[in-house]
Amino acid sequence: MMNISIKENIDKLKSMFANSADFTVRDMTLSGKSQIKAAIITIEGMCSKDVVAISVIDPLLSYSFNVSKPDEVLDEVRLSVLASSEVVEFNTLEDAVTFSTSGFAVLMIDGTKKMLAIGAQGFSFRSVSEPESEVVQRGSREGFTEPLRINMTLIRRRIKSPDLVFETVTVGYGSNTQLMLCYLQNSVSKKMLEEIRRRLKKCNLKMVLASGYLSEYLEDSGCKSIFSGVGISERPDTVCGKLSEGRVAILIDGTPSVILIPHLFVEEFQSVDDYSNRPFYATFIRLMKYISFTIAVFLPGLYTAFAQFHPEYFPTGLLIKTSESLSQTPLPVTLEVILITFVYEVMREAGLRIPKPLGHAVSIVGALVIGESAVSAGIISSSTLMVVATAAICSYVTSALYPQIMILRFAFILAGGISGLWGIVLLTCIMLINACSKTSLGVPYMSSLAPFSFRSMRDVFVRADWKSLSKHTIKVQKFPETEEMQCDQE
Amino acid sequence: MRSRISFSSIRLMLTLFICAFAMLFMQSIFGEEKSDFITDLLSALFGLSIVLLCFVPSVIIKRKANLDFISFVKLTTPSAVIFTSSYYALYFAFLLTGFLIRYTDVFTKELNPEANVYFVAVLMLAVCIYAASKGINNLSRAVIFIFALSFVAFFIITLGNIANLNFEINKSNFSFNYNSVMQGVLFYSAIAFIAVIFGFTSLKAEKYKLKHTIITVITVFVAAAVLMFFIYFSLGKYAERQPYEVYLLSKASHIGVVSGMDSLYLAVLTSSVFVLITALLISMSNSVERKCRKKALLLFAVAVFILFICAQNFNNVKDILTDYYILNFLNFISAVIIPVIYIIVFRRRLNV
Amino acid sequence: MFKKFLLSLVCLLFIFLSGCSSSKQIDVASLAETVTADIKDGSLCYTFYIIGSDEKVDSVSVFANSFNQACSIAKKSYIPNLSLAKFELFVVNKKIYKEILKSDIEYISSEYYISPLSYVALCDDNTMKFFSEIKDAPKVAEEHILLLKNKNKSVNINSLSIFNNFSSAYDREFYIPFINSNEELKAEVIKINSKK
Repeated sequence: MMNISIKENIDKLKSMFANSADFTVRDMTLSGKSQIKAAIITIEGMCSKDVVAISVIDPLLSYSFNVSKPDEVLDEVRLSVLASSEVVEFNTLEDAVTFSTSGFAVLMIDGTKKMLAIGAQGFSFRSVSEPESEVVQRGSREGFTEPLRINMTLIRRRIKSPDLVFETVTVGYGSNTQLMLCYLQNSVSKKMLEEIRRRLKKCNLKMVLASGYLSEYLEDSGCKSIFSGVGISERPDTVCGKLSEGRVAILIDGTPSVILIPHLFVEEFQSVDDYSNRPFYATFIRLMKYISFTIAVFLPGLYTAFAQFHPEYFPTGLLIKTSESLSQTPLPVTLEVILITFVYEVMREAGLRIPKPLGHAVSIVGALVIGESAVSAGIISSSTLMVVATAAICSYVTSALYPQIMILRFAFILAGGISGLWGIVLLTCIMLINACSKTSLGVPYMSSLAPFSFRSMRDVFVRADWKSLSKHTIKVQKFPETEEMQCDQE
Repeated sequence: MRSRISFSSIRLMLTLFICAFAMLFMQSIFGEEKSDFITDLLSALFGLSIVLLCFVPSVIIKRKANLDFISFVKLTTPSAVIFTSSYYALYFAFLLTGFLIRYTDVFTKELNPEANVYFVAVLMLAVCIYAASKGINNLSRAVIFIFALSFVAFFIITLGNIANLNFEINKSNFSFNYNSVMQGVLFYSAIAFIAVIFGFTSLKAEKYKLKHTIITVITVFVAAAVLMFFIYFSLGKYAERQPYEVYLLSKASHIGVVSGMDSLYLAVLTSSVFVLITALLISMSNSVERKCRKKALLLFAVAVFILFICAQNFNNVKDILTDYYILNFLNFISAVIIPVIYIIVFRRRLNV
Repeated sequence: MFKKFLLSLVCLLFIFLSGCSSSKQIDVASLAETVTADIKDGSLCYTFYIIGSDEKVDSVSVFANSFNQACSIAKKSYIPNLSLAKFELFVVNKKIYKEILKSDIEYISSEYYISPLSYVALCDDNTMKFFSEIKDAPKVAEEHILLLKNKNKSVNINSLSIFNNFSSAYDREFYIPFINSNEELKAEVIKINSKK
């Protein structure tokens, strides 16, 4: 509870922050009709000392107040004294905590419960650079960064329209993480937006530190699937493109990954480059991505199935080579494929986590250990290694789907090793049903493919030219069989 | 999660087509009676006409009341629905076990004799239970992909046999043989189970038109005719040597030096039987209350498996479950007699 | 939660224990690509040529009265992992084809794992020696058969068409390949009477 006594309020705040070393109080006396005490509360490192000094302290100290009542003094400070572009009035200690931890300078005046939060953010952050996870050849080189305001600016610069709306939401009762719901008000579905707000309210996490924390709350319940109905992007141009299709972007303070919802399967194969390149080339790349996804998921499983149950399907020359190389290794082919795939995953994960100077050593060890030495020693066969390596390379073509590809790959290897081609077909049927039954905010996850939409095909397997694409703007809520938001109430 | 949204009736028809396609892929034309192409073609025509007729009661209910048959039963006789549901549960159990037996027969006789039949049946049932819990809408979405695979496989298997066509040596002289005609008609009219499935799953199918059903049955006929053509004129007498002709057709199919199309046959057969069994499970589950559906599915699958075990160990049971006379008789009662009784008795409710 | 875990465990055990039993692994399977039928020491001898990477010809000879019997004896006594799934060429010595060709073709037609497109040809004694001495002999023979087919569309080169000719209701004559080796391997046609 706020008190009119400045000393009481400061003491309360100090105890709330447990006398934290970065909690800074600048006491001052305002000159004028009556000498009123004031204080500026900042969190060291969050505010720019220069901005606070020039825009807040200096104007306050050099101003002579004509009013004596604390409330009137505060109003005069807000309207006539401060040189900051952002000033917010509030009257609770919780807001004081929120503002001060967000980089605002909080001004208290003795005798009034009201306070002012003055925008003076000056914390250090990473500069805008190209996102490493979404590299393109012809698109912009800008990517989102950690601060929320910078990310908002990156989007606002691309959509210079009053249609674009940012809506603040706070999640995480411990971290009080700020989110921004970002949408185009004339494109978005009001019901979907309402549903997103409802789901975010249900989030009962203490800390929200990354986009993945919220993904599970935003997914449709009752639709447990290996695929994700929530998309992630670090590119402002991608996000703006999705916003125009009626999607909602959720910017999270402290992470460059922006959540996009609803999210569909076919979007994993679309990239900004597709729309910058010529249609025929973009179509080729699209088809290549679909083929690569199929190879990445099915190739090791099919190889295992054929080697284990159906060797007659190999062409004779390949059969001889494969049989020869497999006969020299001690393990059954299923175990061998699983082992090599697992070792590859370990190497990949190690490559991600390892410090850059040591990265070269890991790649040399990986090439030598897995490649040369293991084959020469007869621990693994060269044909199996080739299959796993091909599948691994193909999986990087659609890197957004990598987690799903990895799990499915293991599942198909097991299915192929246990029951051959029949097992793979059954598992494919399960995967199809699982994907087809998934929804993202009521929109079928496999939309454009199932339910089939002929009009959408111009941007699924092919990329039609812009004249065709511009004729109809597809809104995600208009996809066939989009459900009303009722599933969460079951 | 089951989707409660309406979906296109074209997709439902596609699902029914795949169910019928599964039957075609498991067919054994050259049973005890020898036949010829024209006779079989006429049998198919006659049999599939019967299938079309079996659709009539369900189509009437759909067009007049925009309901499927089971919803009409629940609406008109809420207290007595248990009796009708029980009969249809037994009917679906009979159908399902019969198809499972036929599938495992193809599997063990042609694809892998050493495979454990119970393993195949259990795994297939488990996968189909999972799919059935998702509902007909989601199944029909998956059918789009299965249809694409089936279309490509059908195309490859048939056109890959063009090089084997030999009209001179494989000519079949038309000779009317009552038994072989009856055999053919019984097989093709057995496909009428798709009319019963339609009567249990078409509630949410929107924009239904009669031509969808007609086109579906005609497409089944065309597919059957094409398969028959290649069986008679590419395989010829060779087709009589093994029980499942379409499998043989796939083995004989080649494009240049590329062969091994029997892998496609295995893939298409398994996925289409998966659709068939799932559609039957969904039809059964639609006849019970929504709350009990998951339990009903599990219990039903267990009952089917027990029946399957009995069939594997007692030949009499197997013969009954795979008998086409009994199947046609039950199809007729389920697709025509019972729905017609409901239509006549509750005709006023149809127009409400 | 515990029930789900238990159920998953039981399912996995069932799948693992039941599923792997029918595998025929590529590194242990003995895939016979070519089978020849010849007279050796006055008896009918079937030789199975196994696909392998060795430079020498890998074959197993079995004395039997028919292809069917030869397969059973070979599996029982010599090659337990014998598989005819990759069977591509059946070569019969011209001296004995009248006794065995029809019945052996009938056997081939009844086995689900043998492709109907497997080539069938007759040959002379010298050509038989080629198969036993030269690793690539089956490939060369197949090439000659295909060339023959391209030149002469009426020749029947696979078990499918030969069986159908044998099964014809009428007494008819048809042509099948004959590989002779007067100077080099060459495929010609030989007339067969379906009823004789």
